[in-house]
Amino acid sequence: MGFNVGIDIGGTFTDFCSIGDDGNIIAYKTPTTHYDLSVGFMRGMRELAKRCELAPRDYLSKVHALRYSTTVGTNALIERNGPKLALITTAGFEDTIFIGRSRSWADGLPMHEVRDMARISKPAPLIDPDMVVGISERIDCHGKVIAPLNREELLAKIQLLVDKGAMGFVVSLMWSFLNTEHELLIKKIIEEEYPEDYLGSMPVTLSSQISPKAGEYTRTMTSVVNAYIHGIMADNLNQLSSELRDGGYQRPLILVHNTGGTKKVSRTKAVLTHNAGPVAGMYGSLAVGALSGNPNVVFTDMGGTSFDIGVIVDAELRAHDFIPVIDRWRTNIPAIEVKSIGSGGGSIAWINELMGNSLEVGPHSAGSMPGPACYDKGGEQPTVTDADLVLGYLNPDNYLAGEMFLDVELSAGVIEEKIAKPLGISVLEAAYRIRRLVDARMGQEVFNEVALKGHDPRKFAVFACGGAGATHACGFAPYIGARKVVVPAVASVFGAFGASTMEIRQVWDLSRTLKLFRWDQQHYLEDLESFNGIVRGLKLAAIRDLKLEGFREEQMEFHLELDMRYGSQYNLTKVSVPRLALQSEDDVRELCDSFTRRYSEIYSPEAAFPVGGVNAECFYLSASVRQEKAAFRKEAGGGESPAAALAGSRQAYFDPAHGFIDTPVYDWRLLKPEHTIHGPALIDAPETTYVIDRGWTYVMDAWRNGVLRRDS
Amino acid sequence: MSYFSELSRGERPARAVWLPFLETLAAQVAGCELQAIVSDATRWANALPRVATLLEVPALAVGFVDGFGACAFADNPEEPWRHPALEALLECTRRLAETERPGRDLVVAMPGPLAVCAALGEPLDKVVLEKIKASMVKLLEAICACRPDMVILNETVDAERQATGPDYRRICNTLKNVTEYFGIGLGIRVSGYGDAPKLLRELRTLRLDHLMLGLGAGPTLSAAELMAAAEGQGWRSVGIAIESGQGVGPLPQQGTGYYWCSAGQEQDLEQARTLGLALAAAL
Repeated sequence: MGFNVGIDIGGTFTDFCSIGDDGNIIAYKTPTTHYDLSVGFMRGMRELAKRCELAPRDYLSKVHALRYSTTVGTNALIERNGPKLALITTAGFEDTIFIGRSRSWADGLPMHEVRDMARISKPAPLIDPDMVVGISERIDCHGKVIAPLNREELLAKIQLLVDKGAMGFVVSLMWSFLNTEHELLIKKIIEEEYPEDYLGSMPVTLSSQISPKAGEYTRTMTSVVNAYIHGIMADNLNQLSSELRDGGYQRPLILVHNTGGTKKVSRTKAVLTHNAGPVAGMYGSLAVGALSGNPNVVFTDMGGTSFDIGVIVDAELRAHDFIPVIDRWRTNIPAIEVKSIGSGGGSIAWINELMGNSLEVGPHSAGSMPGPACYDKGGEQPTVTDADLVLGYLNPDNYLAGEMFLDVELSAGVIEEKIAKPLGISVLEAAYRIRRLVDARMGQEVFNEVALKGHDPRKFAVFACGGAGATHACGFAPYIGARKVVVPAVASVFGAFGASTMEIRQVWDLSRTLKLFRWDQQHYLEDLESFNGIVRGLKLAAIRDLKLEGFREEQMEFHLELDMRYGSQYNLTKVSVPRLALQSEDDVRELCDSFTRRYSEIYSPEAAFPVGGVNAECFYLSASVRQEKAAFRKEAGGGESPAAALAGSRQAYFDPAHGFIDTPVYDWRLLKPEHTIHGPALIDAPETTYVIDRGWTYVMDAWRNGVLRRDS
Repeated sequence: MSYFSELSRGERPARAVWLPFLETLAAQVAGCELQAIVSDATRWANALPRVATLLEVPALAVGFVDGFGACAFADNPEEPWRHPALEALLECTRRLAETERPGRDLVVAMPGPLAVCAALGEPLDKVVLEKIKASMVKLLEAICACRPDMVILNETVDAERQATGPDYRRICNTLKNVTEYFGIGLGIRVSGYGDAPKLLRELRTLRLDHLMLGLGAGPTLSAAELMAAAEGQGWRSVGIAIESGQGVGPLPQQGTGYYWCSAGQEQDLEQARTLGLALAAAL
């Protein structure tokens, strides 16, 4: 028997999910080892092997695919431990990345910091201003060379950068996405001067290869971020691959991309790995949504550090990040949109003295070290997990399947010292307020994501995932107005589960402006080859790339999307195109109609502006490889009564009116499909605790997903 | 796979080792006093492996010098890891971890809570332990970040009587949680004890899995007697002190992981080398 394994590294825990060929799922969580991510990674692999009753080597040799969503690149950006880079750009545009876009000082910051205008500032640049040089050259907006590159000038400036300590080059010239000639020439010259067999050999990153799209700021920043994290990620992943090979794993390590696919490490651009974990969770939601008959899903994942939100409409991932920001940098990668806020089990509660001693929770997290005070690793700040423990929801002797013991006295101590005493309230009330506050914050954010984007929350099932998702689902769901909350069977490791269900897929993108419809002449694009040629080029690149990974063309599936807009508009709308080649004017008309429909859905029909004409601005061709989907085990029902799963009771505090009450506790492992539990009740699962509030009913479905409904 | 990293991972190494304390000999090789070498990370990290190579030992013990580091808590209670002695220990450990592995294991000693209380002139009670807890956690974190294979809390004073109370147990629990995060084993070293079987039994309540025995205050029990007393207590490893010139025998290959360690700093290179050869033959 073989296994598909997904691994998701989060800010607090690293999650593992192993799906056997027989559909058996094994989940495991371990604290993220920030000092060396491979330590936690290998610890988890050993534990999966143990739970499969195999020696680590035997287990690894039976793994079909190991899909990994890593935060190595993100960490490198946060810690700023990347190499000293130099930027070569067109003369006159040296300050592009320092000027940024109109609000780039706010990019990547949480709302409360964005509002703090007095203190907000631009981030320290990834490339020092003195490491940027301008080169005399020019390509125009049609891709024509109007000023040739000066080799002598270039050599002199490269030497200058090398003397200043450049360890790598980023080349981003004006309009290079239309004509790559000058960028390629610069790369050739650098490689001639510093060939690979010299110790001084330096990597050269071309914007036309990393991000061939319009917009010099985002194109350059995407290339800079990629170059900055590339070396660190390569070292880290090579070391990990080597450890895995030594351990018996015989296949390539596969990385999860934020664009919604997976690819081998050797064929992955570093920049595509940012924030891939929540995207993997979205794919897990698609899989579970299809099983459980929920095409409209609000995916939520409450982990230790953050709370992630994504929306699935009609079983499709339509939402792409409008402004994908990595760390503090606006980029143009076609990432799937997942919103994150700093609310998790490890979020720190604190008193905001500037706001009249108001209680705040997050965005800072205690992380995995020291973690919440109850972890007893020296943590001295009260967190959401501490509040949950004080309120009696968590079983201190069975946290993480008994691998970690929680100290309720430590939790009560820090809540008393940091919250209760300053506010003049009891420890219990402080814990209750912490919980209510974090629930309200999450609920409000989910509401914003769904209702304010034009969807009716009542038509959506809320998926509550993450280690703390089941504990807080009944708390935040009322703020959304959702009628149904689903806690997937593997909710606590949902990112890892999602990763293990993902297929090999990549997106190839290219900026090209095509006028599809001219209002003034009332006619549609006639030169269909201008459209088809672009798609054909992207398809050839995709086929070549996937063939290099060992796949046949017959296995590949292609899907085309366009960024479109009405002429003279600024913002773009993504439209799915049902065919890869346009064969007649009718096809063009249909495409324009699709755009109008999509635009009207988002902005209302009144906002449509056909007078401007319709433009295609950017082409996205995604290529995926057909693979067999894992077959999940369905279980037989066990009747409504969960009496056999009753494990005892615990004193838990649900509201001030009732105080602590003796609450029945069920063992999740003993529950069977159809078992129905009315709140208030608690369910202890190996990696999480379900809190079923008063007025809620829990029913387990055939795939062991928990379905929570609010009693009418 | 190395002996102490296997122990830290909960595995039972196949072959036992000798863990000698070599700082004094390293000082002799470097031509300086013991105090000079343990305050100079460069000399420390250079000389220690050279002596280890001479003696052909597979593991390096760092910082097992009586009373070492405890005074840092008295001199700089808020940030003892910034004290020159502990800064040198950290730097030396970092360098050895980078240069000596995977060839050699690294076992590092840090002052235990009892030793710190003694250095502060305070009694071992809840208030004092609460006071030193944060800085001990920080120091341990800094040591673990250097990635040794095992950390040993070096308690040399009165451990038998004081180190089993609930407050002591609580701080040990915190320290163990920290090392678990780093995947490193945490042990305790005691010497000057009276009743070894009682000590082996009572220290087990601390939840620490690794014990390193120094010499007892009274008549020394033989290794066989110590192993008999330790058997069934649940220790993952027990280091048994051996003095130069003492007769050695084989150690069991099953159950608790036993290994030989020095009773104190080795003083004579020739004697240590002879002992090392005898142990290598016996192990």
